[in-house]
Parts: sequence; C-alpha cells; structure tokens
Amino acid sequence: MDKELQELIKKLLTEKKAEWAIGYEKAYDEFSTRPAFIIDPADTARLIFNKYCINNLGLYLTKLKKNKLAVVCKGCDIATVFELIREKQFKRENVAIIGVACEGVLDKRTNKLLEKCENCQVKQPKGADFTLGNAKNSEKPKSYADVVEFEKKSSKEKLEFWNRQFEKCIRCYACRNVCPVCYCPDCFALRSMPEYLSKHVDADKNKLFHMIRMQHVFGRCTDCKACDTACPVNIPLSMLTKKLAKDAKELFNYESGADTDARPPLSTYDEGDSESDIM
Amino acid sequence: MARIGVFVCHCGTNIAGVVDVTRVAKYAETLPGVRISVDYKYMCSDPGQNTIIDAVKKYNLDRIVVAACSPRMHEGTFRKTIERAGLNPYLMEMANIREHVSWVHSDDKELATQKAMKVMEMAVAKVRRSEALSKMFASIEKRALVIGGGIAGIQAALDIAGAGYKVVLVEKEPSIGGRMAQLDKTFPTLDCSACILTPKMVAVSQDPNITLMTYAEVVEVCGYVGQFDVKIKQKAKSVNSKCIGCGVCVTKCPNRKSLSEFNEKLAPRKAIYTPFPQAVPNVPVIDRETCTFFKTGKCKICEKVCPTGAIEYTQQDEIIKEKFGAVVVATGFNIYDHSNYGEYGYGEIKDVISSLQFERLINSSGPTDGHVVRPSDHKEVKNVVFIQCVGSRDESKHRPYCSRVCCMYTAKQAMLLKDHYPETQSYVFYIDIRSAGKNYEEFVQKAQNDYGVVYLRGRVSKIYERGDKLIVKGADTLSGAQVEVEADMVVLANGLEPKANAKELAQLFHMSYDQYGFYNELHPKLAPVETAISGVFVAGCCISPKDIPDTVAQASATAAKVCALFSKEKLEVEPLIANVNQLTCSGCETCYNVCPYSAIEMEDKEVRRGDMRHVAKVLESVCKGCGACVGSCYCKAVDLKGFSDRQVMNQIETATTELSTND
Ligand SMILES: Cc1cc2nc3c(=O)[nH]c(=O)nc-3n(C[C@H](O)[C@H](O)[C@H](O)COP(=O)(O)OP(=O)(O)OC[C@H]3O[C@@H](n4cnc5c(N)ncnc54)[C@H](O)[C@@H]3O)c2cc1C
Ligand code: SF4
Ligand code: SF4
Ligand code: SF4
Ligand code: SF4
Ligand code: SF4
Repeated sequence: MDKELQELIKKLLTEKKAEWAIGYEKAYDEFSTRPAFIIDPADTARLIFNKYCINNLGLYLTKLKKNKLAVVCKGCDIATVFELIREKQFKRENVAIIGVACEGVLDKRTNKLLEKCENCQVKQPKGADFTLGNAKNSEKPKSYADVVEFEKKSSKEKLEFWNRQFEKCIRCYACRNVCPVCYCPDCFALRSMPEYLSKHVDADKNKLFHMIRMQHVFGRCTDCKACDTACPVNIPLSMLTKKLAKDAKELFNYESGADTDARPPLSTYDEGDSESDIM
Repeated sequence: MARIGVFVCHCGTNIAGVVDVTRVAKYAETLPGVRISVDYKYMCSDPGQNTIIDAVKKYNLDRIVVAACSPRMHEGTFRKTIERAGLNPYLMEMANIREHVSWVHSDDKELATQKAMKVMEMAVAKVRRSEALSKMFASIEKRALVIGGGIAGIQAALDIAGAGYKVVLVEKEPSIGGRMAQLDKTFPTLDCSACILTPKMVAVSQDPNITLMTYAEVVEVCGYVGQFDVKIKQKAKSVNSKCIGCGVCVTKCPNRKSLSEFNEKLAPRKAIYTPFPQAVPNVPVIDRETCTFFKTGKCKICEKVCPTGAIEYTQQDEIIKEKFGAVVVATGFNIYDHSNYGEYGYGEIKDVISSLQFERLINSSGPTDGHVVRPSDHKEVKNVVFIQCVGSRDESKHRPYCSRVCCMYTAKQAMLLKDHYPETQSYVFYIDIRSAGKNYEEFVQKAQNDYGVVYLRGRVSKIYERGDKLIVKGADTLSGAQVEVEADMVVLANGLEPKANAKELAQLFHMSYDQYGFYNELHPKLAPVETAISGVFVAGCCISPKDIPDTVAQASATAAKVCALFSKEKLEVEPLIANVNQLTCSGCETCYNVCPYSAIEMEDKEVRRGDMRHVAKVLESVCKGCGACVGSCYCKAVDLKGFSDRQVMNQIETATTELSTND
C-alpha cells in the first residue's frame, strides 16, 4: 500500500491539489512511526502505513489550517477531520482525506491492539476522498461493557479510583496537547487573569483540570484515544472519553464527527432533552 | 489599591431585625481596600443616599458596595446616587442581604449575620475588579406593530395612531374584530356588541396612521427595543385591491363545503368569503383548501361574475419585512373544547352547545337570524340549562383557574333568552358566582330576581338523550337534593384559554408564558402590560381571561407605554454586554449558534498583523447580556461586561474561604 500512497501524494502535491501532505514515516525503530510533513513531491518516498501508525494526524490540521492539505487517515481519524470541519476550523474543500484501510494499530507499551480497534466499524474508511486498501469491518458494535461495569460502582469507589489516578498526574498537559479538539489559542488551564485553575499540582486541582477539559470536549471528542496513549503515567483517560461518547449517544443520540452540519448537544436545547447528569 | 466604601442598610427592621448590621459594617472595615463602612436605617432614603455621596467626597472613594435589598429593587437608585457623587455608575455592587439573607434565615440570627458578612465580602471582591462602563444609546424606529385585531389590538392601534405614530396592525383572520364581533349583547349594560365595535373597526380602516394587514401573520422577529426587524407573511387572498366589496362573488360561489368559523360551525360558508357582513376590510378571500378551482382546476365562477376583475388566482404568499420600535401583542383567546367532558356527552350531543355558539344563535345577524333553535331539529326551545365552569376551576382537566367572564355571560345569555322568548325557563348550574365589577353583582341579581332564572349550586354529573329531550342530572348542594332537569338545549360556559399558537408566537419574541400558554407580565401588579422583553407589551385575553372593559383598559395602557417610549429621541441601553477577545477566539461558531438574540456575527479579520482569522464579534446594540455565549465558549474568549470572569472568579474564591476571624 505504501507505494500507492506515495504515488497518490506525489500526484496531489505536483498538481498543487495540496500544499502540505501529512502522513506517517518510520521513526527510530521498526515499531515506531512519527508524523511526516511533506511539501516537496520528491520527498514522498518516506511515507509508510502500518500497524504502528497510532497517531491521529487530525491533530495537525488546525496547526496548518491556512494551507491546502492532504492528510492520511485511518477510518477512525476521519471522524476527527469531520468534527473539526463542523467546528469551522477549515473548509471541507481544503482538506483531501486519504483513507487507509486498517486492521488495527498496536499500543507499543503492551504490543496489543488498541481497545478501540476491537469492534471497529471503520476498518474500511468511510467518507474519504481517496481510499487505499481493503479491510473488513467488525460485525459487532462498539462495546461499552467496561464503562457499564464501572458505572455500577458506588460514588465512593469511583471517587477513590479517580483520586488514585489523578494523584499520579504531573500536569504535563500531553493529553491536551495531542488532543485534536483542544486547539484553543489560549487554554483556560494556563491563564492567570483570571486564574481559572490553580497551577498547583495535587489530586484535587488535577481532577478539576480533567473535569473541565472533559466538559470542554463533550460532544466534540471522537474517543480517538490520543490522550490516553500519550499520558506518560498511564492514567486511563479513555475511560472518561468513552463515557462521554456513551452519554452523548444514550442521552442525546449524538455522535461526534458523524455529521459536519450537526449541532452538538450542549449548544442546543430541545424540550425532549434528557434531564439526567452527563458527568 | 482600590478605595471602597461599604454601606449597610437596616431596611427598618427588615434586615436589622435578623442581621446584626453593625457587625457586618465592622467586618467590612477589616477587608483590604475598604476605607469606610457605615450602617444606616434606610440607605435608599434621601439622607441615606447623601451619606454615600458625602463619604465618596470625604474619603475619595472610587468603588461602592451597598449591602441592602435585591438589585432588582434598588440597583438603579444607587447607580444614580454614585453618579451624582461623580463616580461611574458601574463601579457599584449590591450585596443582597435582605431577600437572600434576612427574609430567608429569620430562624438563626447568628448564621444569618455570618452569611450577610460573606455576601457583602463577595460584593467587595467583585467590585474590586469592576470596570467603568460607558452608557450606550440606541435609536428608536417610531413605528408600532400590533399583533391581533380583537378589541384589544384595535384599541391599542387607535390610541397609538391618535398620538401621531404609525402603526401596522396584523390580524391572521380575513377581518379584524376578534371575539367581540361574535358576541350578541354585552354585560353589564346589554348594549349591542356590533354597535359599539363596528365604529372602531371602521376607524381603524380610515386612520391614515394605521396600515391594516389581515390574513397575515408574524413569522420571524430579530432585534430589540427600538429596532425590531419583523417578517410578516401576507397570505394570498386571491382577491386584489380592485375589489369594491360588492359580494357578488360570494353569492355566486357554488361551493359551500366549509363550516363558518365565525358562526362557530353552525352554518356553512362559501369557498370565497368574508367572515361577516360588517367585516373590515370588506374584501373576501378564497379559502384555497376548499375552493373548487384550486382543487380541480375548474370553476372560476367568481372571476366571471366580478365586475371589477379583482379575482387573482395567481397571487402568492408574500413575506414583508418591516422595522418597528415597539410591539403590542393582543392575540386573545379560544374557548375550552368541551369534547373533553364525558359527562357532557364528549361534544357529540348536538343540542349541547358552547357559549359562543349560543351568542351566534341569539344574534339577529347570526345563522338563524336570531332564532334560538336546536341544532339537531331546528325546533324552538323552552327549557334551557346553562352549566358554568366548563374547563375552568377544574383540576381534573388541568384548568384550575377561573375564566372570570363566564358567570357574567351566563347571566347575560339567560336574560337575553328570556327577553326573546318570555315563555322559556333557564336553569344555571354553578359552583359559586363571581361577579366582582362595577354593576356586576346587580346584573346577576337581576337575572335571578327579575328574570326568574333558577340558579342551582352544584355540578352536573351526566347529560343524556331521552326521546327528543336532554336529561340533565346534577346535585343541588344547597338543598342537598339530586336534581334532574328535562331540557331542550344545554349551553356550556366554556372557559377561556390561550390561542393554539400562542406559544409559538411567544417564542418568536422570547416572551415567557405560563403552563397554559398565557403570556407572563413583567410584574403582575406593577407592570401588568409589560413583558420581560423590553419594547414588547401585552393586552387583553392573551395574558389571562378578562372582560371587555379590562381588555380595553390594558390596550390603552400599552398605547401609553409605546407613546412614552416613542417620545424619547434616543434610548439608553445597559452596557452590560458580551465582548469577544478575538485573539483567543478559535472561530468555532459555538457562540454564534447559541446566542438567542442573534447578537453574534462572524467575521474574517486580521486579528494581529499577518494573522487573518475567522472570529466572532458581538453586535453591541443587539446583545442582551444574557451570557449564553460566555458559558458556551470553551476557548474562554467571550466575557460579559459587569460580570467578567475576573469579577466572578474573585467572588467564587471569596465564597469558598472562611470568614476572617479578627471579627
Ligand atoms: C361567550 C362569551 C361571551 C362574552 N361576553 C362578554 C360580555 O358580554 N361582556 C364583556 O365585557 N366580555 C365578554 N366576553 C369576553 C370578551 O370576549 C373578551 O374580553 C374580549 O373579546 C377580549 O378581546 P381580545 O382582543 O383580548 O381577544 P380576541 O377577541 O380573541 O381577539 C384576538 C384577535 O387576535 C387575532 N390573532 C390571534 N393570534 C394571532 C396571530 N398569531 N397573529 C395575528 N392575529 C392573531 C385573532 O384572530 C383575534 O382577531 C365574552 C366571552 C365569551 C367567550
Ligand atoms: S480521545 Fe482524547 S485526544 Fe481524542 S478527541 Fe477525545 S479527548 Fe481528545
Ligand atoms: S482543555 Fe478546554 S480550553 Fe483547554 S484546549 Fe482543551 S478545549 Fe480548549
Ligand atoms: S498526559 Fe497524563 S500526566 Fe499529563 S496532564 Fe494529561 S493526565 Fe496528566
Ligand atoms: S465560542 Fe468562543 S471560540 Fe468559538 S467563535 Fe465564539 S468566541 Fe470564538
Ligand atoms: S450575552 Fe452573548 S449570547 Fe447573550 S445576547 Fe449577548 S452575545 Fe448573545
């Protein structure tokens, strides 16, 4: 597939259909890949796609949004691109989406398939401008069994669990930095006038940071797991993002990144809206 | 360092009876930046206000906190006070230690005092971050929109026009007149409804200041007081301005498939029609739903017979855009649908009729030329039973309120019947009689004493047909007996409820309404014709059931409010509005989508040199300062003047710390 990919991108760059192409290249060892930013058609031979291409390249679109772009996307990453279009970060016609068929990506730390890849409905990408390769989508729907299991715990147990997790957090903000929808020019967490959140690192303040961030990304987060994989101290942020996805679906029948014209649940009001808590 | 003065009010014993105001004032002095703190019996009185002004001068104060009542009550007062003292009026904060403290915590004076100290301390924290704001002015479009052409709308339009301002009166039916046009005679004077209404309807059509739009509805509203942008849909009448109102078309139209709305479905009407002979304007409309030509493509008889060529089948609905400075909403009422009442036959017994049907039957220009005959067999009636409170004062039908006019119109109808047919006998079932009003009680007494109407206190449990009679079974709670009356006709006193589309109209204006759809006044006592939306006024039965005198009084009141508004050259508006920091805006359009007043505009702008971006901007004169955008912006790029994040964060921080102990 790599050859095909390289040729396609070379063509897009040569024909000036794109000014920048964002894809993957090999990093320091055979189990590692990193984003590659290509402007010269002669440079495309670096591009690859394999099961270590874990990054969601949608992240870089907002950084380069003033240009015409081509981006390599796994099926799941396309939701991010669509979400960013919904959020008016760039226009659909300025991004060429190159969908690549994907049999799942591996978490290098465990060498296991990412949990999100298990029942993946978009192994064969949907909504791309160009699609490379073939893969068979899972017949089973996305499973929320782990979230359901956690929801059964008492409030006290849940609190204890998260206190333990957030005690570990060093507020490196890696989770926020890799999040494609955390593109705010001036994040609340770093402001000082007013200081929305103390810069002090302790379980309470850390918890508050994550609660606010989750509230900011509700209805926008596509549950891409980038934050979860980036965290250096292995905080299972995916349990939060998955809960967001589950609540959006169950309470508002809403799915982030599905529709570029949608209005996310927290910025609309309907008399039939669910009254239950979302957090 | 700020130079803050804190002024603690006793409000007589309202606050001081519960809160230790001296302690609150003493505590204030310990707070950083506070230069002076005093307590006084009535801060809002002249000497109270002068204390503030003197202190500003003596201590060179630059910010003020008044710990007293709700800002709703006296914020305006104290803003003016400090303005007189030479300060910017927005450098004053109120701490509500009355509604939020003394009135709700009278059982624990110590805790109440501590809470008052905290509430005051929070206001000090907030005012420290307050910024001087400059007053804003908006221009006023001196034209009024009146919606609904019942007696309320007619009166309001005439009064506003009389003062010299232009008015557009929008009525959704083909004629103005509303319910009053359907009535026969009116209580308590028994003067003929048409005789007093028609001259007003004609006056509307002849007033050069009034533009009448019938068969039209408001479909979209933007803007705010002084500058409402309104879209009005003029439905195609299919008859143009060449019409001279001769009515030949109506006479010749062969299609009488519809039932007349004006005659409460007691008679058919043509496909081309004017609702009633005195209609204003006297121009017919074609009901396209039933017209043979519009259904089958054949007929066109009206076109053939019209002497002036006024029939125009190709007319289209039109959207007309207009600007108005103020709006009067007077959309009136419907009557309660009695088919919800099983005990009265689910609306299926033909000779059980509604009160409005009775008005049409007894009206000499009604479908039976004023003969009160039974809809089932057209026989004249002898015994008639009236039942009050149908869809009023009835929890089981979710209509717990009293409709106010039914006791009166029932007495009226029973008397009118006796006048027309001296040999008839009327019975009235009632819960109790509510006849408060000038000459109202006398009116009901007259029905009982001079007209021999039999009043039975109790509810009817069942009506059923026996032969060609109706058997009405009920209780007479005064004698304690069950009664059974054999009647020829039963007239129900249907309660009043809002128009079916009242809520949709309210939503266009962002007006609030109660659970039934009646519009909410700004204050039930002190602002009875104003709404929470400035520049939008309400009159008549769309607020609550009422009679014609009250309706007319309210209508004139709205006219006075509109004229007072229009008498100003410019409108002072609150500068407490949102503001986007375009440097931190990501252009996500969330605020643009949530703003209920369409006060956000998106623009492509160079926010810094070489940094062209898609960003939000607040339209200052449109923003109402509701803060919806502030809460929705995850980039924290919007702030609300007077309630900035810095002010509010300061307040929250203070709220979550202990009272300092050196008290
Ligand atoms: C059976 C009966 C008998 C009564 N008898 C008496 C009596 O004897 N004496 C007395 O004082 N009172 C009497 N009343 C009460 C009286 O009818 C009301 O007080 C009066 O009609 C209220 O006038 P209004 O203008 O508020 O409403 P309405 O008369 O209902 O007028 C409202 C107008 O607004 C129009 N409208 C509604 N929605 C819209 C819209 N969205 N856009 C444009 N136009 C719209 C309607 O078509 C209508 O023309 C009686 C009531 C009833 C039911
Ligand atoms: S999963 Fe994490 S990184 Fe991905 S969109 Fe959601 S919050 Fe952002
Ligand atoms: S956490 Fe909130 S403010 Fe910070 S970048 Fe993410 S969305 Fe923006
Ligand atoms: S990546 Fe992990 S450690 Fe860093 S801020 Fe996020 S949760 Fe905390
Ligand atoms: S919500 Fe905030 S970031 Fe988004 S457009 Fe409005 S001001 Fe800008
Ligand atoms: S505060 Fe914001 S949401 Fe409210 S009216 Fe102003 S711009 Fe609109």
